Amino acid sequence: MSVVSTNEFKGGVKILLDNQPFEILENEFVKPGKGQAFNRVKIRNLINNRVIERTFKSGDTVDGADVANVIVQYLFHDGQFFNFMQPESFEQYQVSEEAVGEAKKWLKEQAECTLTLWNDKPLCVEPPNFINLKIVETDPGVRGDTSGGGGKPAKLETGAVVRVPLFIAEGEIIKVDTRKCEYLSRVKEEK
Amino acid sequence: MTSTKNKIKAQANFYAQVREFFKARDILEVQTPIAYPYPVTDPYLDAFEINYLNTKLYLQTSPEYAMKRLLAQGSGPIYQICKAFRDEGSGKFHNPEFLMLEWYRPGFSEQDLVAELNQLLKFLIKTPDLKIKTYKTCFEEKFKFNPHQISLEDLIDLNKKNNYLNIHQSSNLNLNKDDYLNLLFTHHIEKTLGQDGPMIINNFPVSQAALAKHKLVDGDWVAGRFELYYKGLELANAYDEQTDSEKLKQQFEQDLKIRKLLNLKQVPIDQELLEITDQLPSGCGIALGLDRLMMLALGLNNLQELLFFPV
Repeated sequence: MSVVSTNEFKGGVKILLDNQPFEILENEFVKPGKGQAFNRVKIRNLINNRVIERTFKSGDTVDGADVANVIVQYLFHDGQFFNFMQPESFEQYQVSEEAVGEAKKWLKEQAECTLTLWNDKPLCVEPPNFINLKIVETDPGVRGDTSGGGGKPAKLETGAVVRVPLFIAEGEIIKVDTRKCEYLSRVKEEK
Repeated sequence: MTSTKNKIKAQANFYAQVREFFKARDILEVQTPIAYPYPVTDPYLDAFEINYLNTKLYLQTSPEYAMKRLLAQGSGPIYQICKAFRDEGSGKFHNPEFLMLEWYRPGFSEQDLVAELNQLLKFLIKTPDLKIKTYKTCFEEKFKFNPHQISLEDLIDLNKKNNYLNIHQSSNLNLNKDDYLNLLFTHHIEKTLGQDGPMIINNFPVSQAALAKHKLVDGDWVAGRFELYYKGLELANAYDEQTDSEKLKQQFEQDLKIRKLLNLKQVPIDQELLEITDQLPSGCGIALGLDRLMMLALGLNNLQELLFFPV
């Protein structure tokens, strides 16, 4: 396992603390006028996604975390695991529901996702930023009804629910922003 | 996003104004060696070493020692705009090479120097009058304790109870009282200072002001040291200078002991400075980070944006 010194701390660096993998988000060098220097870092726990702060004595070393991202395509759910495949190597990964997390509601066949591996084991999944999905359930919008303001809810083929404009009908395909859980536009062609 | 031409113009204007300020007050500009035979003994300041002919020289972490030798030779009030070097990381507010404005006022009290600093800031960046707060007040307001009286054990307990600091536990942590105070200060107090206008924090703990005279204030022994803060950033550090060579020698020796304990480089003591210290006139000196000041004046929030060729 590699060793990382505070001198190498910066955004994106992955370290191991309390036996859990963290990603450094921000690193601030703190040097009081006369005294020991410290590094104040904001780090994200890659298991539970929580962001915490930690202060290190400058010059301290920690273990680097063996964390890597691979681009994978979603294949199918086999009843127990979500199955993904890396398109170039054809390597397959079976990922638990826990590791898939929130991404679960955006998974359509062939959706290109980012799989984070820790010590070669699936840690978490990030869905594509944008995806085209079919609406499987929504109320017909009443023309001229502007009282709703924010549109109407629509359930998508993967289970996600987003708000869409009133003129959008069931069966239509829309493009959504998965990070904001927002409708972006209609899609004319079947993808 | 400032263009190069604009940066050059703004900085050139700044230098001209600084010189105008000091000329009007008959304070003479000096240039002392950047590469000097002695580094400061402060265990927490790392100086770059260079090999010059057959000698080891150190890039100055500040022109202090050289300027004090001039003062002892009767220079009168002097100032210097020069590069200083510290072997530390670079970041939003740090760069291993930075620009220092340092000046010395024989015969001035701390109050006199604060007043002059106030005039300089108003002249350069048109800020409102400086406010002053003691180091003790900062801690009493935020944490309800007197930093000069509290013990290390109580500090550790306080942190455990309230989780003020998330310190990574490592085998060689060994934090002393000043480390805790510094951490509390930098994590919870510093960013709030000087948001509405420049602010002076004075009366530092004696243990945090190696080369300052000591004084008794409200029953606490404190150091004649003050710092300038603006927009949560430390801009300057000033001292009522120690002029007793015996005390200075003791401080140097203590620094070397700490260096040994912390497994840091041993460095030579500036004998020439020790020899003339008793001839140093009483007075105050101040070191101001000129690039940090320019950075704020130009509305930049990252030192690297100010520099022409950041490494």
